[in-house]
Amino acid sequence: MTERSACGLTVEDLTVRYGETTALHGIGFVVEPGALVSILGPSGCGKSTLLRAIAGLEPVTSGHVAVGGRDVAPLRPAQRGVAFVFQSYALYPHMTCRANLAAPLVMTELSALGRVPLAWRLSSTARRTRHSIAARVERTAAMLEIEPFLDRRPGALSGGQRQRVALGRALIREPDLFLLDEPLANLDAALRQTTRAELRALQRRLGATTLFVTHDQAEAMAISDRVIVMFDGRIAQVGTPDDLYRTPATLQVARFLSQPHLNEIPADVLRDAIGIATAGRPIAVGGVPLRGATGIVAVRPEHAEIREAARPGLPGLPVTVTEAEHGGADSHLYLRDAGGRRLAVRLPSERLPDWPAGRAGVFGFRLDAARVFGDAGGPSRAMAS
Amino acid sequence: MAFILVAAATLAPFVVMIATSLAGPAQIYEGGILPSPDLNAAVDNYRAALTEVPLLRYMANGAFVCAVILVLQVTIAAPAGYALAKLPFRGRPLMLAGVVLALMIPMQVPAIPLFLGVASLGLLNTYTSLIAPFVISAFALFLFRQFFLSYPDEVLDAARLDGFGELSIVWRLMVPAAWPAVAAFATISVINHWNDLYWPLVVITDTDMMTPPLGLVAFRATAESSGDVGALMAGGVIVTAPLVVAFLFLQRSLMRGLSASARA
Repeated sequence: MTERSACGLTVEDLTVRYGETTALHGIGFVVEPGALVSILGPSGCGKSTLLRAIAGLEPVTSGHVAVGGRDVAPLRPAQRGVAFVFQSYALYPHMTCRANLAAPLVMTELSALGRVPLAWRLSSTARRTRHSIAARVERTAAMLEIEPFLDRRPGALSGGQRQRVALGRALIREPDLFLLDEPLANLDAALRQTTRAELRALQRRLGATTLFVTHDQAEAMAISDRVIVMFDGRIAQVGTPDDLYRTPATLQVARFLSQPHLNEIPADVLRDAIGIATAGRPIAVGGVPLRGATGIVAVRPEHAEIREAARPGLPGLPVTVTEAEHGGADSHLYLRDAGGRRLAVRLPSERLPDWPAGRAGVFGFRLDAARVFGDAGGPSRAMAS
Repeated sequence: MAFILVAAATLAPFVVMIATSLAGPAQIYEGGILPSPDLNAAVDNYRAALTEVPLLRYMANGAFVCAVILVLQVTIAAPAGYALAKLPFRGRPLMLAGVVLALMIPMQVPAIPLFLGVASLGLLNTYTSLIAPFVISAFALFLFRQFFLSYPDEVLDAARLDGFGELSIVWRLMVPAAWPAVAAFATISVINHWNDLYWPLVVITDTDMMTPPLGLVAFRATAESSGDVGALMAGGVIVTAPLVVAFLFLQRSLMRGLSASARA
């Protein structure tokens, strides 16, 4: 384990092209040994392709991938020291779970003779290897608490159980790098929550360098040391969950991370509505003076609120309630401003009855929590804070 | 009801065959629908069938030829079907079209060139001549390809990461998963080649190399001249019996296999 903890992943200028279409445009990043890094992005952004390219399952057009400092380009997938957990789990359907767990060891550690049924008994080396494989299967099964169904086939298991077996098949090889492709996507909501916590705990305990692909921003934020946000085959931002939340690099990133809605108000509309000063002090939005700001002011629903009327020192946009979305403790209230823009605020659910559809109010927000993005959607010059 | 009619029509010749094999010449030429059985005549018939021609030798030949054909067919068709189903390579659509084309060509079409080839290689009256033309089965190839197509690609990726080579994938993953197809093909292949008369008739003249149907034909030549229809029918029963018995034993697992494939 100590030796393995020195293994990280380096990806340099990785490009994958299929004929005319380019799936990945010069992707580069580093995963520190023992870190869990998520790749977050919408479907079709190339995140799965990236994972498959690292594993050697996808031909790479140009660029380098190094696992633990070793260039893996000339190596076949099985030789790269990576383990892959697929969204569909990809267990061998006609084998028992025990055989599924043993498969990677049987194929890499046993000689051709040792794999022949019955004949392996003739070789003492094969007998010894088989013994150690059986012991490792037991150990891995115990760690994941899957012993009770080791002798069943995957078809007879629930989704959560299959997911554990798939994880076991990855763990048993003691790889340098774990690649997880939306491993939680096929689980129901409650199980997804507990499994992701367990996954994180396991990853910490083993110190396993892990690259985790997901389209679920909450999942990525919850378990990652760092998150790589991808759009259209390019990296949009790399940072800790906190970095991404506080300082999204582009409007696109901010939108993707602010579920279910991001309030986007053009700076000039805001200026027309609330002026450039209040109570004699100039208004600054996210540290940028509103007077000279251009582009889009982005505000998360949790930093916004709806009030009955504008008050001095608390400027706001006049809005009308359109609908409410109950979300348990907190709910989202959707609004429309004079320009037809859709806005949302988060508020405690017990306040929902005060705001029936059609009621007029004023949309206000924490000026320091808002962010200003330039017209192109990229960071505005004023963002250097 | 329709079932019963079809079953009766199918079974009738067999019933006549068995009844005739159990009767002496006197009863057979009496002219009834079914001749009445006679123990002594029955024993004579079966003894004649087994002694006048080397019937057991024919059956051993048939069993050997069928087994080798089947093993080679699967050995060749499984990896080829896998390649056609799962490995992208240049010319694959063309090859698939070739396989489908081959499916449509009856054995009789290439028979003469094949015979000339076998003859010029000096292989007439050998096991090789009985086996070689059948080891590449377009039907097996196509059937396996269709079965392999539905195998999930992610499992193949997982296998490659786990260290399976392409041939290990074929024999350790694809073929076990396609077991119903393999069993169904084995049944069809064995029945076809056990019952085949045409090709053995073309390449075999030596009594020692004859397969059961050809042996029966040879037997008929003698039996008809001597009028021993009972012995001929006894020979027919003996030759048919192995397939019937095998089917009775296998039918449950075969049906289970086929219905499992329908469920999957």
